[in-house]
Amino acid sequence: MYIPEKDLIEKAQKMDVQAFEQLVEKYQKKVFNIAFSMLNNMDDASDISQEVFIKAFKSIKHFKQNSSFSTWLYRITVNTCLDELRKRKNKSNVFSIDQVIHLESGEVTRQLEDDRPTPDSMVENNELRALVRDSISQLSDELKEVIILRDINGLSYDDIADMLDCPLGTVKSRINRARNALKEILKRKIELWKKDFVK
Amino acid sequence: MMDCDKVKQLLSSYIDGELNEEEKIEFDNHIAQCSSCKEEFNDILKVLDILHSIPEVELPADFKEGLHKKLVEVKQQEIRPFRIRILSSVAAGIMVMFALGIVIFNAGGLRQKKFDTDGKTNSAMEQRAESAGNSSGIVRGFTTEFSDSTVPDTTEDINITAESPEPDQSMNIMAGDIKIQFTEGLKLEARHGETETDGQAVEEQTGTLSQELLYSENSKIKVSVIINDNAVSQERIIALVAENGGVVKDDTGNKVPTLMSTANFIEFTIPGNMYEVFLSSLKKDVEKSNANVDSTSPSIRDDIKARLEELAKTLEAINVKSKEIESRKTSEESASNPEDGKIENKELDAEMEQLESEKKKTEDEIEKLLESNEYVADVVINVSK
Repeated sequence: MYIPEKDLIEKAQKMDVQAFEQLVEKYQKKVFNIAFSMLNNMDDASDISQEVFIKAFKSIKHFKQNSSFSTWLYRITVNTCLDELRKRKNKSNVFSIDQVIHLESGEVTRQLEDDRPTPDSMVENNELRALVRDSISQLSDELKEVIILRDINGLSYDDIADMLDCPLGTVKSRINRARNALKEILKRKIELWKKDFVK
Repeated sequence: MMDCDKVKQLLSSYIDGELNEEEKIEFDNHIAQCSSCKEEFNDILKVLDILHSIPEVELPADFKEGLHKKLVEVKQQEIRPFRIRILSSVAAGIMVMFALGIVIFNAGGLRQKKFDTDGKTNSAMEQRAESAGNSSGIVRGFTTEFSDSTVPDTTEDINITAESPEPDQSMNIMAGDIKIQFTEGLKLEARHGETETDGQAVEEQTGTLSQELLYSENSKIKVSVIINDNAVSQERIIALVAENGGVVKDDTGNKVPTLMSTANFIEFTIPGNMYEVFLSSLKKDVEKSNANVDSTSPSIRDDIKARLEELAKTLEAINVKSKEIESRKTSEESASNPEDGKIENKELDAEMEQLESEKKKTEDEIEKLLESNEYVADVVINVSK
């Protein structure tokens, strides 16, 4: 039975788990993908996504019905991911990103393997995407969030401004800087990678 | 005419369709003539191509089930009585400890007679008081706030519930995700059976809480070991410390891996979660040589206590305010003129948002306080034959 979102939210505010789970179903993939893009790890993304929904369930009574639920939810997602990233920085378990690539399947692979594809076939390949995700992880937090929200999750400038609580102009300039920075990092990585094939 | 700098600034806007007709034409013209800008433009397009082609990742199979269990737990904890929820940081643990400290001292002060007649209740309360740290300094600070609304003349139970059905009658202390509502008045009761279970349940919780606090990996405990009669070698202690993640310092405050300034006194800090492990390793070690290990219980530093107390008060004040705003809100909605009601609500919403950010700031400070201090509690261990 189709229940409009507004009603689901109302029910969830009264701790109706089933109603909340219908909301979860609607947004879980997006939430998970934002988390995965920010954390580059399936397990972490899963844990954080669950945490996000738990937080949302607990504070849904404070959600104002006249605003956008998705924006509210994605905001919790981004903030939770940033908190997690900061916690990790403090514990400084830094490993060299250049040696490890996280593939979308969650596997971790070393950069130097003999069966890697040649540069020409890179475009179609998972490994290129892995390089991209890797490059994103090297961006600063504020650039990381905008590029993930805009270019991976397709959210509008307005929604992003709402979510990050900053002016539209700031969002525009950050997106520009983020894309530029990403381009530079990616270029460098591809150069390095290509070099390995020159024997 | 657009120059290269301008074009570079507008790249994203162009791609995202934000430029007007005039700007678009100028942009196109420049790109057609300038090879470096053209290259950059194409590079960005390529990167975006890749980004847009990244397929959405699928959720793991057990996601829904795992989440369901946790959601049900959240719901249950909202309505289960006599349970204190431990959901977030160690800071919350401290505040609960203080709060319980107050409850116990209030109880003790008011109803000594009741306790004496019921032996079991008495010991449960004593244990609680012990594990709450017997913080009388704090009690003084807090009791003034509580005393007006909470001193009853009747005798009933001390009710510590997770959620009470009449919220207006109770005081909330919110610490992160922990809520303790004190039901109206402190109720002390000698209902034997119930008190016993409650007392035990709460005592377990309190025991767990103070343990969570002190023995978490976020806190550091400063340990002073005094070696009497050469009961154990200094090297052995230093080795045990190192094994358990502790750090030994000499009297200049520098970290030293091996040497110490005196043979009989060693000071080090150790992560909260490793303290017990260290202590039991030490005990096992000295058993062989028939030596004894005597240790005090770790006690929280006064200066940290004081600041945390302040922060707890701030949080409490914020929660009282936000309740007030909530209640003003609901009454606005039933106002005669709905338009006015809407405007009022908007203002109240703004106030709420401000409160939320203050609350977050306070909570952040609490966390920082715990993490940034050299140590949170100290303890003295005496080793002797």
